[in-house]
Amino acid sequence: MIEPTVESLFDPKIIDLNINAKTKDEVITHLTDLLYESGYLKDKDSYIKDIYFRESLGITGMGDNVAIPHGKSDSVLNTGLAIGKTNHMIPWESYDNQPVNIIFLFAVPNNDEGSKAHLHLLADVATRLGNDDILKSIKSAQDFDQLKNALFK
Amino acid sequence: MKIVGITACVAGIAHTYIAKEKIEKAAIKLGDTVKIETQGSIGPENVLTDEEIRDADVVILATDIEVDKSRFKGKKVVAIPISMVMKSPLGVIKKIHEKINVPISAM
Repeated sequence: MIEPTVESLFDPKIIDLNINAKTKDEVITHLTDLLYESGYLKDKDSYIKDIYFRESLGITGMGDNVAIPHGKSDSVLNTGLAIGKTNHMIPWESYDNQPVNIIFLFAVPNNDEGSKAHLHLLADVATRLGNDDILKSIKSAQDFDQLKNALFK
Repeated sequence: MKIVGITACVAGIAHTYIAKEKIEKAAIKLGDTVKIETQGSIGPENVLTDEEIRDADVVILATDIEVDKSRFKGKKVVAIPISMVMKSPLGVIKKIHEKINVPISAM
């Protein structure tokens, strides 16, 4: 099991700050590909299905051009936080009816045991996203280091 | 005004915690004291004590799932969907001040 530290949750392999997608589907597929290629998932299709199941329960565009889709899924092997920044504004169901260009895709395994510590870290990240000042610095981050500092420091 | 409350969303992964932060920031901005318990996938955190509930002027339940309300018997309870907090946290707290007729102490 991976040690539940910030380092294990902040994984540049599943972060892409230069995504050329134009639709929600393309973004979710791209970030899911990154998660899959980096060993977080055993199956892409069923993970995407679980993301859209969550989408069906309520919108994940939190406003301020940020979306937080999440899939709790049997297909997730390790808790992961995929982060994407897109070059185009992406239409997304949002509380402020605005499109998004920053996407945090939470990958959470269905069996909670062993992932509690990671879920704590994810909860911390979510808490930070709810803070307008921190959100500003997250949105203005230009590279991995700045993003990591904004998210976890 | 003393506010206590609970946030709980369907998956218990993200909105629960974002909403907590938004309520707290808005309440503090308006000069209120506030404590919000999260009921997410990691279980209840920042749990409200009986004393805190007793001393509170109002209870906010920003929940999209059923939570146990028996602890709040006899209290003024405002039940709202998480989406209201996500959209306009300051508006929610202001409205509650209006509803229970407690003037806003700071701005």
